[in-house]
Amino acid sequence: MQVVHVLRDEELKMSLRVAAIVIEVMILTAMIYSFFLGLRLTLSDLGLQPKYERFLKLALTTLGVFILTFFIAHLILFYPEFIP
Amino acid sequence: MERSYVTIEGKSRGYYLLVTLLGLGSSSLVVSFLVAYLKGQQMWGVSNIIPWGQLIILYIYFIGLSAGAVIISSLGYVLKWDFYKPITRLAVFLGILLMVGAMLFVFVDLGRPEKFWRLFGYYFLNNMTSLFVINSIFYVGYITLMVLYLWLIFEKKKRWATIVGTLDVIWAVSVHMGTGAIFGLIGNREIFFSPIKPFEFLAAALTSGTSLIILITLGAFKFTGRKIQEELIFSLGRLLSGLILVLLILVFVDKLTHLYFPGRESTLYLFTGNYWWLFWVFQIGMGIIIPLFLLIYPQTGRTVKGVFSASLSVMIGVFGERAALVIPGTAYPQHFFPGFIEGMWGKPGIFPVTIWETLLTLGIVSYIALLFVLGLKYLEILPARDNEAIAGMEGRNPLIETVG
Repeated sequence: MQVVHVLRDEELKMSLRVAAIVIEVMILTAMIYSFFLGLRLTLSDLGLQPKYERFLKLALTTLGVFILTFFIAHLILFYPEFIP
Repeated sequence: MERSYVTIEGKSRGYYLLVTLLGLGSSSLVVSFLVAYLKGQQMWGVSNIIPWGQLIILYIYFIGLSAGAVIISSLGYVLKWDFYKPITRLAVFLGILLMVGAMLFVFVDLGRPEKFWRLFGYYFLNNMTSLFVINSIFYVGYITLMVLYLWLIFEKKKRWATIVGTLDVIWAVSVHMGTGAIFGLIGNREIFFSPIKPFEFLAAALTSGTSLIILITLGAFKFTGRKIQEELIFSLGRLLSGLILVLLILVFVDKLTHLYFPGRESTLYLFTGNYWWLFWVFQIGMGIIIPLFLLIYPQTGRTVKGVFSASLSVMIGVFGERAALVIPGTAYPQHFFPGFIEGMWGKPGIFPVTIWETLLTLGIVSYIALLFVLGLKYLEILPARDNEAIAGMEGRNPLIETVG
């Protein structure tokens, strides 16, 4: 009976951690998006012509995806529990 | 008359197919990075014996291509040879992308990429005398200068483009010689250690960079229906043959010096060991002898196909040259105290090519190719055909929209 409880606790912890990682990744996505948007707007303010915008947007989007991938890997590997 | 540059339309099925394939290829970068990050770097086949693998080979290869492309681009804007101007934008754009690719290779090779900032700590948690640190500063300056150079070319600020271009070329030379110095100054690795390694790196960069420009120019012009001046390709071919001769002399002097020296075992290992084929087949055969023959022999040297084949051979050969430096260079054991303490059991190592490192490599190459293909669609890189409009005209020109 005790073993079942321990297993249930472990499962609960695991599913909570997965949910927490999803929330953390969402927050990080918002931060990266804001950072890159700020960068793009700063460049526009400095006089970068609109003809470069599409390429810049695509390059920054792919870069953002790579950064998020890294964050997901980092969260899984180094923060597997709520309280290590 | 002012030359005009346009974007390609990029609405054909072939274009979309290419973008999709490269997108899928880029996604392998994400998957393979995740696997290596979670499971460890042994997934790449690297070990204590051979700590540098495909990623480092590609890193120095891409830096060489970038430096070579930018130096070749200077023929148009810095030396003001108008004949080469049609390929200047292409060369600088390639230079930027290849450098981004090189940085991605070394970034993931760190294992813990989030610690990259330490390279820029300026005496805080880093060693400022390390060539890795010095080169990191070089690389950032180089990318910044290239972006500025390309922007000035796009904006037709010729005077400034010449000034920044000159500075960029000097910087490109320093960047690649600096990368050569990373290897050339490692005294304990006999295959690496050489005072002329920076110059050898520069010569290899120029040969591979010129070859890449020839291949990309031919490919981009053909697939977008542009007519290329054959004399431009022949001229680059002649330049390439001269550069290969310089490279041959440097490789010959380097290896001869190593052979003359009493501690010649590692050089003999390079020539006859497990990886002899990297040196003889790729570096010497495909990187020097075959292209030199193709370019000097009149029946092939004066044809576009001949120059194309020679360039392709150089591209593969210089890649082999980088591999012939990194793999045998690290595979040969270090003799700390001969007979007593030998680096990793005193036996040469074997480098296994793993699926995850190969996927990672292909992912980064696909990503850079994807950015290049997208760049052709969104940036005015290619020269207009005779019946096309002038880039930068006021308003949108319907002719520009129908190109490609």
